Amino acid sequence: MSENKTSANSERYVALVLRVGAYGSFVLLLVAIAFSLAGIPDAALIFAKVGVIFLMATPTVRIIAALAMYISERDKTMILVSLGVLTIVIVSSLLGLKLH
Amino acid sequence: MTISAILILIAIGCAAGSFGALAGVGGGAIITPLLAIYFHLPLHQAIGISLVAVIATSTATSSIHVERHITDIRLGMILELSTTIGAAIAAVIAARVSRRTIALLFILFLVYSASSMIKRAWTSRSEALQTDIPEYEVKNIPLGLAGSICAGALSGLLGVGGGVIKVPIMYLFMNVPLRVATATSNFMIGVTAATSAYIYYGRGDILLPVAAPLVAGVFAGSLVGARLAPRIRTTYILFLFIGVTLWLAGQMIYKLATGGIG
Repeated sequence: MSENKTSANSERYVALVLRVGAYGSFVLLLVAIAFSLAGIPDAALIFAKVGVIFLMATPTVRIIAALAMYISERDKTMILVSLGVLTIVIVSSLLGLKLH
Repeated sequence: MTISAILILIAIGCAAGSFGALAGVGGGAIITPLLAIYFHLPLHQAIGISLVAVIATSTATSSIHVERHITDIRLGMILELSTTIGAAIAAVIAARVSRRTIALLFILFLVYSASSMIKRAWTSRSEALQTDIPEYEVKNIPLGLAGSICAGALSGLLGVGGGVIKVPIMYLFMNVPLRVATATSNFMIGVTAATSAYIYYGRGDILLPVAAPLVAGVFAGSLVGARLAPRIRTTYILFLFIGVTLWLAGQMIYKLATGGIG
């Protein structure tokens, strides 16, 4: 692995965020499909919206988890890198909210 | 939406998700043209929905790869600095670029993807299954950052992951083993796609009734594909991917010539 590889224990939290994001949105979207097949489009739309937003938020939460991991390891370079990526993603999401 | 349309979207998602996990691509290269050609969606909406599918592929496969310690999180985060800038700028510009130009860029991207996969499929014929990851030291980070801006821009403009650019750069120029490069690219494409997906969502280009069944299918395909990936040789999957990609490029050229892409 590359130099300064983060500890396997810390990486587990990043994996956990990704797993919760993946399975959480998967379940919400399955409920949306079930409502759609049952002919209840309003409920289907609500669950689809929550599922898609939950999914789109997962990468941002993953950056925050990585930031927390680097803070606990006092890795200054990677703290700055994580903050940089987080800033770009937040600016982009604010731009999306403005367009909405 | 009819039941058959929902089932077809789930099937497309499953196929794209398993391709994504097995061939190390985001699946967007398949989803965008299929939605534009067969579901007659305007290209911007097809791209917006495809971005959500790319996030799904990334989230599902990375949750497994990170646990197996195949992903170089540190390298991924550094390169994300570039991919997110490229993706955000491209997503803003995309609304002002004509659909014809985006369609032409997409055709070029499909042809490039196919040629890149042909090389990989040819090489992988003689490769043994990679079980252990060799020690490595990352080189040429400035080149990686420059290439990642292009990959991010491509993602924001076309709704793809951009793995076909990042994986060869990491593998050929940055000294990263192929399996780590593929896993790291998959890890990065979620953040990259989310950066532009926020802007597409804000513009109303993500149609929820289409996105829900498609993305659910992508999840199922990705989760199965990522678990099968270490156990099967990917050569035949790559050849299948090349065939589908070239066929879609041909369909897009035909539709573009006859005015069938909006």
